[in-house]
Amino acid sequence: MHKPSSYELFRGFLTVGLYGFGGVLPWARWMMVEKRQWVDTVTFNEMEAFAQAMPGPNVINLSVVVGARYQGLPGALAALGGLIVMPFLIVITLGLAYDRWGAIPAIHDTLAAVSAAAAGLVIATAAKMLKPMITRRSAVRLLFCALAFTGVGFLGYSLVWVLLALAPVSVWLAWRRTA
Amino acid sequence: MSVSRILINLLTHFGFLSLVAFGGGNAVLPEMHRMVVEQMHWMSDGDFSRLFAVAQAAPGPNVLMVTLIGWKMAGLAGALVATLAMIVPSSVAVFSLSRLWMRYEHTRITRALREGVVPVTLGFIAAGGLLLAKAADTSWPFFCVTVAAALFTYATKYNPLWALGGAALLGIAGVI
Repeated sequence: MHKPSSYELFRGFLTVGLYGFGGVLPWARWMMVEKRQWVDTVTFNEMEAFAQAMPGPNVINLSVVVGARYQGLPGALAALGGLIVMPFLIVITLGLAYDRWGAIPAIHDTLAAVSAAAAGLVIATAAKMLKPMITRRSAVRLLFCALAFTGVGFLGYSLVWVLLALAPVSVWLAWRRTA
Repeated sequence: MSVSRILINLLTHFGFLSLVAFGGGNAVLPEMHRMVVEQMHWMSDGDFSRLFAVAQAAPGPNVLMVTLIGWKMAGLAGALVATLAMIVPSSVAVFSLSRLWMRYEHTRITRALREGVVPVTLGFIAAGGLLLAKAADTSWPFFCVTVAAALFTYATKYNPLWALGGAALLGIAGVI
């Protein structure tokens, strides 16, 4: 295993940020485990589980964990900065283009079509997460999923309240299951 | 609303959202929609879904929707403030807890947290998908595009960017 410097952390996550179209995590795994060999598979899985259990996007959390592990605060800042800087600049450029040309009918229509497809991507993401949950033993999990969906999607409740109401119970039940 | 008021709103709203963003950027999509479209009336339903489409066309982690909302409301300053507000609070939490977590073996807590939170965030992501579809599918051809893109992404291993590209081609050709 190679212990990366802050500069290497920045460089590594810079490329991850650029590659990650439609899912950054596979690239992060490939870069950290296979290409640069900063961590082994077991450590990566542990870090990933932690990154997923915390609020915030998975990959961003992962960059903070890895950076902190090897170089403390400077490392976390370097990894996080590397990950976010290029996507930030690219999306700003796209935003600029949208402001300038978004009202042109042809572009407006194209974006309308792309936004219909983008809704489909989000639905597919949910479906992919749902698939492993449809087993006999996970009726409780499906119930929490349905309650969250109904509360936010149909009843228009604030996500914060729904989360505060459901998550503690759901986590407590999961804690008991893992005993 | 003055620019400084907008910046303060972006900072407080997204800063708070950051700490409840279990499940990542897409899980808080319904709350973003609620805030930006319904409460603050910063943009229309259609604007929201088109901005989301633009954010999908960029690489990187899926918090870029926040960047674009900030950009639309207050230019570069808005983009910076919104992005940092969405990233910094959760990252500070991760940074401080990762030390503790690495020192001890907290696998059971991590597992219970993840297993308990995933079903709830899954419900949020599905609700976000529904909201976006409601905003984008103004006629049945658009609805068909949503269904086709969902099936393509769900059932194949191709990069989902192809689905966006395909839809863009249909749009350019004036088919839908």
